[in-house]
Amino acid sequence: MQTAVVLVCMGCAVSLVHAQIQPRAVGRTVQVVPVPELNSSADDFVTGFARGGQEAYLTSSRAGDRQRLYRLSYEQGRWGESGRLGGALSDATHTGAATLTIDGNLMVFAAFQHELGGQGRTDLYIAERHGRRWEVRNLGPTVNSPYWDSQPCFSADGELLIFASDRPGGSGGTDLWMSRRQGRGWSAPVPLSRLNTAADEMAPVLAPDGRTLYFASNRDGNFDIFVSRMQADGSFGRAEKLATPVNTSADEFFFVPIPGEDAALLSRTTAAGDLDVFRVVPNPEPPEPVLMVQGTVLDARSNDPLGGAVITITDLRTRRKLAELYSDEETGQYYVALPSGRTYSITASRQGYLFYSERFDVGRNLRENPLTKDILLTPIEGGRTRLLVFFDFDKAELKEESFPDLDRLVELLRAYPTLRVLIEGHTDDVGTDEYNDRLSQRRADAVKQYLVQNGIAAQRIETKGWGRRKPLVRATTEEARAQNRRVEIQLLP
Amino acid sequence: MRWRCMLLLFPLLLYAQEDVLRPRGAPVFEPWTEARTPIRLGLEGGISWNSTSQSITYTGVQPTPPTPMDIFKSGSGISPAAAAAVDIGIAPKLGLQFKLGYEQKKWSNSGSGIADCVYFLDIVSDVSVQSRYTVQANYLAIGAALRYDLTPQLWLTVGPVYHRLLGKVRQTERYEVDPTSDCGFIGPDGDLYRVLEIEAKIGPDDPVPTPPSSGRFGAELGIGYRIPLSPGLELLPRLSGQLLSSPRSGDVNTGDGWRSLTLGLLPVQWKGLSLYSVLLTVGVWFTIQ
Repeated sequence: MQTAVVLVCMGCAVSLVHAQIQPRAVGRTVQVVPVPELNSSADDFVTGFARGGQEAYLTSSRAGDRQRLYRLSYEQGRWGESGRLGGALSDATHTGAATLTIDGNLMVFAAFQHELGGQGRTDLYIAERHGRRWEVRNLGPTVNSPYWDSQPCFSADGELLIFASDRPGGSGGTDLWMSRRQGRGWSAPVPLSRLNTAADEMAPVLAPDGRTLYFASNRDGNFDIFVSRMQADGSFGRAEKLATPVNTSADEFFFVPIPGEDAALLSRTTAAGDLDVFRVVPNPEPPEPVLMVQGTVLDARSNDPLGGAVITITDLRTRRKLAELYSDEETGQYYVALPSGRTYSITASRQGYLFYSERFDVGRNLRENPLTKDILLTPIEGGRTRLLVFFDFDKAELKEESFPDLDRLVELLRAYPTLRVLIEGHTDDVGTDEYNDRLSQRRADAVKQYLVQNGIAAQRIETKGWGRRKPLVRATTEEARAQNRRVEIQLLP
Repeated sequence: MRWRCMLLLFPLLLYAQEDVLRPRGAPVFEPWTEARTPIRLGLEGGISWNSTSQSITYTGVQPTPPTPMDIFKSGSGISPAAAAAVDIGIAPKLGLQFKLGYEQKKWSNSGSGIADCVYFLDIVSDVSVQSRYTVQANYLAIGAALRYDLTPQLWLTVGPVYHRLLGKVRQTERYEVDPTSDCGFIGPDGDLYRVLEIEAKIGPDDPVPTPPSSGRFGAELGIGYRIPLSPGLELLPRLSGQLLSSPRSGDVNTGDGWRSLTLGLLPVQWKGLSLYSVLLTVGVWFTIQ
């Protein structure tokens, strides 16, 4: 018996040793294969995806010696034809290394000797998409330096920017620097000191979860891929080198997770000396799961797409606004990446339309991913929408998660001082009519009280408790009941 | 406006090669360091320009120059050379090169000199003789060198080299008497010939007083320039100077008989034969990962 115990423990020790050496290789056969659709005899590297993963941005010097940006469609594992981006996106000796917000409407790219001028050598430029046109400007002296500033990467929401630079103040060579959005500008970059070394760090890629950072470093000789995860305090944790076959004796750059897939792309030097794109399946260091939400903002009456609608993502628990994006000016499409394990509200608003909010509980198990959700906006006049307000069971006190949407309503009524609003409370089918009528009325009144407390004249507000008499869905499932418990507003002329 | 143009030009000149991927620009070549490119193989071919010199000393009577023998004081010529080489990086900027090759050394000279010509058995007069000689020797060249990179493109090599004679040394001589004269060389058949041609092939082991050396030791100093053709492939023009020991095993003691009718056979010593070579080769070098 004693012998058996010893043997078991020895087995544990051996497995632990192996686990420390190659913890992620156990049980997963990672395959790294070239992607011929993306590769040429020149340098080719993908630096980011957009439109929920349906667009990839490739930098290539296939047309002469100049690096240029290419956009490729990617749907259901298939690559479409690539198109070179022109105009101000190519008015430079070299342009490339583009990063985009998940909706694809905001891009930061690097350019050497751009016609717009810059702060010195290679600089970062920001481009806003307006339909098919890109409006480009230099990111300015707050972010750029007279040194080499390149290889930007956005967080999916566009709030965080990490890039590589050989400016002084780092740890030597090229280092990773981080800047945060401040209104329409950016904060002064700070070096990611826990990740930087005296060697070169570059090719940062932030996964759609906004926490997992991949980058390349030649601290061990050639360039290898490392991963670091953002800690609770916003700093990045210790960098870990990815194992073989991701890293080899060649140089590896730009480890880009493919949104919605357990796979990634990386760029690697080939025997011919150029960079080629490879596909890594599965991703041995996957980021946190992210729910990709995509859809179209539409006019509720005409069903026409509404471009330029502001999509606001709010963490309902912390009430923190996480991102503000815009629907595509031509197609009205929007794309949002929601990290799992949190509850969000997505609100769409547009000039002349009543805003609309939707609550998303993003669990760990994402069954439907990406999730398609069209948003219908009704014109202000006679507009009707559901308010994203929350009450405890059998209570009429507003929960804190309700305040962001109520604040939007306050803003709307301030912006349109002649408008009046009818607040209608609804319940599910549980309980008596009398009880539900009272509860729905109390809840409508609670909303009115909030508006009045925030400066909206009481005479502009009417309330009505409908109880269970106007269900949205005639069913008795829990899902249907959840939909039927609601507060709606109707704007009155 | 002029200042603005100059300011714009300044960073362009400084950082013309950088791009969005590489702050120091795309590598035009792979650094020859032990860590990154441990071994490179090269195939080189080109020409060897050869130059010889030796002294010719008469130990007794000095003939009035020039004599047809004077041409042997020097010689020069161009011949082919080819080699396979390997370069092993041992440190940044430093490497060891080894080569095994074939080098032909060929040199010649021509000139004219005065010889005695006899008429009617007892009348001696001077006659001009055009003379020319050619020597051709084939060598197996074995070399080792230390490489030092002066710049990423330009490097120096210096090291010992050994030439092993392949086969025999071929030497030809041709003498032509002035065609306006009535003089000539009497051939084996008793006829008179204006042209005399001699060919000899002598090996190190042949029973002659001073056979060619079977091997030569020396040093080679080279300078090369690397022109990248594609990643892992480079064109490499190289200029090398060779200084090796004599191709002959010793000095030659012989006699000058061109004035034998008037001065007799004059003892003469050919001394200190040296052979210098300058190699101009173009190599194709492959990087082995």
